Amino acid sequence: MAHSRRDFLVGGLATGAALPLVSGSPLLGMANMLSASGRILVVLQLDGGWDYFNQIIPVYSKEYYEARPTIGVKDKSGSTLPISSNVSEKWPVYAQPLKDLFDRGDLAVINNVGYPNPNLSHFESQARWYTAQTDPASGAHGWLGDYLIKGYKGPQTIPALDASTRATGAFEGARVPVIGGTTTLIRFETDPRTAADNYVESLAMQLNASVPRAEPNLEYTARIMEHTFYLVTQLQAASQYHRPKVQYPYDVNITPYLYRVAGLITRNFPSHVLYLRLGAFDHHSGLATQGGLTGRLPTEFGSLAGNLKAFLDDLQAYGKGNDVVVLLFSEFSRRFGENGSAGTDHGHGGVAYVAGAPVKGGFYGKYPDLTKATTPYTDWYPDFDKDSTDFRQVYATILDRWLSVSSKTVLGTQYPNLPIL
Amino acid sequence: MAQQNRMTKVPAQKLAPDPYRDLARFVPSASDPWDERKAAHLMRRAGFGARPEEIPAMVQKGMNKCVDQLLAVTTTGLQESGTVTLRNGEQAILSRRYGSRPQWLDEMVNTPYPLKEKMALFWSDHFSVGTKSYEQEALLVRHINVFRRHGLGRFGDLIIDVTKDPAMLWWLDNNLNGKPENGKPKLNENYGRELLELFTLGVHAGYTQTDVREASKCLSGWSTGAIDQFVYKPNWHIVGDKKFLGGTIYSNGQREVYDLVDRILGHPASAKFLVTKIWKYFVSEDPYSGLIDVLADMWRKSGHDIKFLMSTIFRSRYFYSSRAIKKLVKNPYEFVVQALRASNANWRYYRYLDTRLVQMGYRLMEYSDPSGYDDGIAWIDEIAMLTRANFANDLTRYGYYSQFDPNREINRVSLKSARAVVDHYLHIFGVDDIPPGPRNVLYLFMDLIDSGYQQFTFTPTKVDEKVRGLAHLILSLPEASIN
Repeated sequence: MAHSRRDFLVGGLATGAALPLVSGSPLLGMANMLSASGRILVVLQLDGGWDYFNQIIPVYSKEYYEARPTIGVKDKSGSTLPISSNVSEKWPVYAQPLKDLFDRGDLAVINNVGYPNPNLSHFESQARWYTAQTDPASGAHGWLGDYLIKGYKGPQTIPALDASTRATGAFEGARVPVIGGTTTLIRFETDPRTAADNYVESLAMQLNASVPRAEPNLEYTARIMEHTFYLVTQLQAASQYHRPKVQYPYDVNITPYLYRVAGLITRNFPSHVLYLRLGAFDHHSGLATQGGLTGRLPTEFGSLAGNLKAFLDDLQAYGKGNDVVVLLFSEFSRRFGENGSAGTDHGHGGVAYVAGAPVKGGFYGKYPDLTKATTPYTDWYPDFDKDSTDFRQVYATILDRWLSVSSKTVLGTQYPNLPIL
Repeated sequence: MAQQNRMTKVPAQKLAPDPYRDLARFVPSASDPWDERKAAHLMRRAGFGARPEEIPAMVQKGMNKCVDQLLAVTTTGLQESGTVTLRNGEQAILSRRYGSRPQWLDEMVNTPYPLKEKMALFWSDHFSVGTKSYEQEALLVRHINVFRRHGLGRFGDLIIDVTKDPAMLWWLDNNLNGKPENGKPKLNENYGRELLELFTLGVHAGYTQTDVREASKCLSGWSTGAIDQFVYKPNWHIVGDKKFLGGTIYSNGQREVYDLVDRILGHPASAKFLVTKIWKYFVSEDPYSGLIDVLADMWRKSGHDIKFLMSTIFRSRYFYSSRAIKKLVKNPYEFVVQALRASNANWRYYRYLDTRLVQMGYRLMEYSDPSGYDDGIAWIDEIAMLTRANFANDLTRYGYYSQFDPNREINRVSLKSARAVVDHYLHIFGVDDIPPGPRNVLYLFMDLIDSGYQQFTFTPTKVDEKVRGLAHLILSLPEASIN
């Protein structure tokens, strides 16, 4: 693959006559050519293990209200919203933006997602999601790492980008840049103690790369170096100067990161897999107050929902709506019963969402059968059983139907697809 | 007479490639001397580059003595467990890769036996392993030690040692090969297949699936006892004669593996396969087939003696010709270690450097694929180049990671002008053959600051400011990534 890429670059340059310095190089116009087929996957990993039963409310379940006397969301006007005529569960009011996406057919709700042999540790559970394995070994590849190595055959210019401050393990095995927080970007570094000449230093570096070389390996290296300057500039511009076309409900922990991702997409940055870790959904206490409508989950989940909708609307306004699919998941969901501090403890299973205009919206999978819940409810969570959806089915569907690679090649096993795409 | 000469003069013709001439010993002449450029080339390829002060002595010594010295290596291994204090005072915990990798890196930078480390790096990529569990981490240093001990020995012995190596037994599942199921030993072909395909013969070398199966039968029972121990398990061995590569390996228990290795090395593809790989790693990317044929034949006759092979290569005319010099791409370890050695900087925090090397794409002792890394321009992409440039900044800037002292160097050599400083550092970093354009940019840089013209002066402050930037710029040149 590397050689065909060189042939492409060198071949492309051969027709370009002499290379001007710094700007106007044929490579600079190449970014759009290098970007992938146009299909983009954004993964939002919600850290901490989010609570399922207060995202999708089983309003018919007496067990739910017994298990959650404080934080349970009451089924009344102003508290819940219907999902659809053939779904008995309801949205809590703070999920209004999700309802809007759902109603226009842009949101797939995937119920009861999990894996055999649940593990209640954040770290162990994340490792399962990262590797798509139920008993991940040390050094195992991430599912997206294997996608990039075994599945993806497109241009190799930064095909994926980890846009988080906390690096994900999902790219393990492949070389994917982590661009860090909003202020510490990928950039060419210079010595701050010699700041008097940092600008000329950067300029000199760029000039040196732009000069044509004769030897093929050297010329290739120089062109890649020159292109790196271009990409770094693009990345910085996308991160700092995105102009949203719709209003986001500004949340300092979410919105700037979505701006950055939106900026990269709308500026045709070559990456087509963009990964973000957001949130702190580890709500052992204060998950919600009496009646379930205020507290940490309503605030944080509500903000996430609002920002997600704004993000998709923003992309739509930029004409990119049909190019983007967003996957949202959390490493596990939480116990059925509330604990003594109006929170819930680590559990298993839960909900994942796939959102975006290309998605076939709907309510998929089977909501857990709460009549199976055993007391004490604070110890119970839905086990992985015949009603569950294996989380790898979600991955397989995205790989097969959105990224257009063989999920069997990437994951090693063919998991049944879900009709969400 | 003169007239006649002109009449018969033939146009200069390209000589047909002659493997015997190309592999003959390089003999310096007035027009093609043994000089600093060639000595530096030898050290870049057979090691991780020279420190600047080593080069003049190498020129004095002559090529043959330099190669003799490179080939005279010890067989000591790295410490395999516990904690080790590196030469910079840093503590490395060896049961973790973030400790074991810095231990080896420290060795690459400071060793008196650079070829030993270079061979170990080559072999660790050729016989690449990763780990499947945390318990196996401790086996990785032992795996490297196989190559540090026998990397210049006989290839047949090396294959046997690798086959017995616990990390490899775990990684390619030969520890399970022959594990009984329903009372009968059950074959696992994973190692047997890679032994032929990746380690010795190459893909499509004429062997069949039957050969893979028969080879794997020979290997059955070569397993592990304790996690870090090779054990032969007789009742896991699949008994019977094996038909392999058109011959028969007679039933002989664990001794069959020795027969197997002999048969593999007797196959015409094996020497060519390995010689091609070594040539592409150490000399040039495009050897012609006649040259490989001759060298493979010489190597086979030497009893697959790796030291003989490397000795032949490093003394050859081809190796010191323009077909080899500056024709390869540095892998991340070559780039980083050469820069550390050339700059004479004291690097203070190897664990941080390890993360840079991973960003450049090299996870030492943590190969994710049994086929190792693709070399050459496969190392060069945007993130790798950004990381190389930023490492160059780490190395040359004021700060915690590195102690790089331009004033010491400027005081050591007496330089008279900014241009002389540029030329000197281009020479130190082995890139004095850059085009005029970039050289002029570097000259200009010395007399410029962001606010405009400010002539370079030899004051300690100015030297610090400009020479740090200059070294950063030089190591960020595309030429600095070429080996």
